[in-house]
Amino acid sequence: METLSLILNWVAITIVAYFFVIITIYSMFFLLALKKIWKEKDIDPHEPIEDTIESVDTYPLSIIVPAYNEEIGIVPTVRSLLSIYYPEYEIIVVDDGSKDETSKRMIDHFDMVESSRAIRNHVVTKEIVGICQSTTVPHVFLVKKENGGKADALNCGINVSKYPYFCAMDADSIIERYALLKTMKPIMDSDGNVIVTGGTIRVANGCKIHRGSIEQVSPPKNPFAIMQVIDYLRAFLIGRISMTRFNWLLIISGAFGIFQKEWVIKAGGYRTTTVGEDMELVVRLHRLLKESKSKERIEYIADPVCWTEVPTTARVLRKQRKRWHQGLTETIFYHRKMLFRPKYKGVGMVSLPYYVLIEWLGPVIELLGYVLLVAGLLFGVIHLEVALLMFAVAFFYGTLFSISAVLLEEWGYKRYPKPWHLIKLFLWSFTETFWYRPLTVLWRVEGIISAIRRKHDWGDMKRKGVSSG
Amino acid sequence: MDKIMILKLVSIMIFILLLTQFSLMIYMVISKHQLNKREERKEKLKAKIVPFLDQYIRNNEPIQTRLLNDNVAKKEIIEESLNQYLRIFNMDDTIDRIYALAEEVLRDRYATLLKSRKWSDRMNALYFIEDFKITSLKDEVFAGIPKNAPVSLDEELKQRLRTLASIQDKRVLGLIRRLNKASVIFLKEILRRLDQAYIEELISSGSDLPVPLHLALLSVISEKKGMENIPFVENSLEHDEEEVRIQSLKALLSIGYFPNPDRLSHFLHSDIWAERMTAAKIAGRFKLSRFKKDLVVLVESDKEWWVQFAASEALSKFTDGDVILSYLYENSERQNVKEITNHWISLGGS
Repeated sequence: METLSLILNWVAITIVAYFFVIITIYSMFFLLALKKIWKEKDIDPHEPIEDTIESVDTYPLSIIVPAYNEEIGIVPTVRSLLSIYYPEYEIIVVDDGSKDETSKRMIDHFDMVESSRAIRNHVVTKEIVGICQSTTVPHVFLVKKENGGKADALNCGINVSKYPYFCAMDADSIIERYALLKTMKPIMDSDGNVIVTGGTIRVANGCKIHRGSIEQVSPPKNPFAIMQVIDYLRAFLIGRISMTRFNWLLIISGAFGIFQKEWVIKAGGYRTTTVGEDMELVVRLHRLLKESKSKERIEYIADPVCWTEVPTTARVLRKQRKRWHQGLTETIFYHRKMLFRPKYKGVGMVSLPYYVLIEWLGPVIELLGYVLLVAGLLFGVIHLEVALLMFAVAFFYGTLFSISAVLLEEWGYKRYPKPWHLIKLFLWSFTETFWYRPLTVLWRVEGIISAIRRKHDWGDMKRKGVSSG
Repeated sequence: MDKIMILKLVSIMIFILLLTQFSLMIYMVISKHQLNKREERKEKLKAKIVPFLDQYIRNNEPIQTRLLNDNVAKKEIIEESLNQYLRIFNMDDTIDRIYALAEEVLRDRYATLLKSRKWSDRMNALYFIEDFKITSLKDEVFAGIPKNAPVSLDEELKQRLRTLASIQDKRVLGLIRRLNKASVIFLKEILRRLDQAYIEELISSGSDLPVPLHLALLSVISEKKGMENIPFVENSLEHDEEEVRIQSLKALLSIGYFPNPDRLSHFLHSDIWAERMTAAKIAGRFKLSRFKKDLVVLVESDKEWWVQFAASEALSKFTDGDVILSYLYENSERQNVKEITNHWISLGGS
């Protein structure tokens, strides 16, 4: 018994040390993000893109919206996309064999007719059943295809698209009117040397939406949704801002990213055998860039925002987090040969190891910590002081960076207009350690198990429709 | 370390964390409250100032600029309002009044901001000097460009060059000639801001233009669609760089004038697919029927999809284009030829 207790205490101390390392890394990320946000925080929001609004040089863009059973959200999403400021673009909704009325709603609302548009078969996909074009807004297209999953739908959209850049967007998201211009700007400024850009995803739940655009920003009432507001702020404003500085960024969210089509085709399109197709593609692009000794970059820009509806129940959130972590596991598995290989520079030596040791392994270690803490205290096999130290670290880790992210948002972007919005976000951050974090940790570990058992699905989030608010 | 020590340490840690975080929260909430109050006050002030501004801008009624000069909030309101007026009005005399007022009321603010240590202050000043064409600040804008520059282009340097170009400072010509690594898009942004006389000066300054600047010039010429620079574009068709040749073809396509159609044959048979594609577009645009056979060959057998697509489009421009495309559709064994020709048949020809 004494030996077991000794071992468990040492395990607990190792876990505490592991979290001190994470806290140090996140602190560095925070400082990097702070520096960038501080520098740019007072810049006029419209002046930098003024030239691009009507410029003939602004690269034309194909917006691809993969949709599966999105009958509620699809029309408002397309209507919202029609109101964005962008000189030349087309919208391609890819109905991935929906069982509901996704296609019918599109056809009825936009007066669509059959189109004989020429298609290039860059990437092999499931068969296209038909292509329709709107008669009222001719740059809106609908592609009906056999079910093949989100990645297959995106690949199909790439084949149908006619412009050299495409934007992958989720079917139940609202993009701010200048967001695509802001996201395209680094690509134009670099003369095409930036091949992928992504903006920030924020939580639309709780916001007042009118005619496909966000009219008033407000934090949601639902506890799961509000915790995700904090989650998203932390992931984007701390993690991605700092990663992008060194071209180490491994994720561009599936909900909102612009890609140079040529490079995606060279990479073989989205991989259909993973549920984390967005991250997997970005890692594959990094791999291709490094293997071909190309200097192109992948960048994240914090200012352009796409608002998305997030799960409000434990059941759906659990599915989503499981899927995300399964995707992460699969991506790491596919690209394990990049790990610690100098050939892949920062991506192989730093960011991929970071994703393995911190993002992927983190939940496993954390779960172990929770189990040890509870079991240890119940059965008295770990010392009280070690347990307390573990709790303090967990609390520190759980709240510090959540609150820091809220701070960064307020310093840099001020999207939440009322003081009580900030108080609400702050106070909820303090509760994270006690319920939200243990739950998401558990679900992420389940994701690893799912990856081993290889389960695939689109996710069945019950949509209320972001534009119905 | 004994238990009590650890307990104390943990308690202190949690206490410090909570204290720091609550302090930050209080600070943020107070700042937010103050910011909102300031915005409210600004809105009220705006409601008072804007009618006077409006009368001055729309009807040229005199405005006492002395009244507008006394605080930062007022200057911010004038800046925002004038910027909005610039987006709405396009009549010369109205715009001149906006510029004049900006020069009088905002000039000193921007001169100070240009010296600020904050990057965003300097950038905002540069944007507004450009918008309001405050030419009297050109030396201050130029002073921020390093003497040996421009070697590398950061955002601020780019904006300084844009601003100088907007206020027609000739020194920008010398600077952009030295920019070997600048993007074509950026150089076009500069050239679009410059008067035609400066464009002529660049063209006549010699044939040793850096390739990006050469490409940008061709692009801007094609946008303006003027005939006066046709000799420069024609000479560029023989440039060593393929990008320059392709851009020259595109410029001629856009201007709508191809002085010597015989030269097209060379490009239709080029090894470079972009040259074949652009040449095919020209053949269609000017309905050069002597090249129909070449176009048919391109549709049937070119390896590049875009060339086939452009040649097919070119054929659709001819009066008998539908017949030729239908023939190709029915007789070709290549699936992509069928798809492309079908696409142009369904869209209808000339």
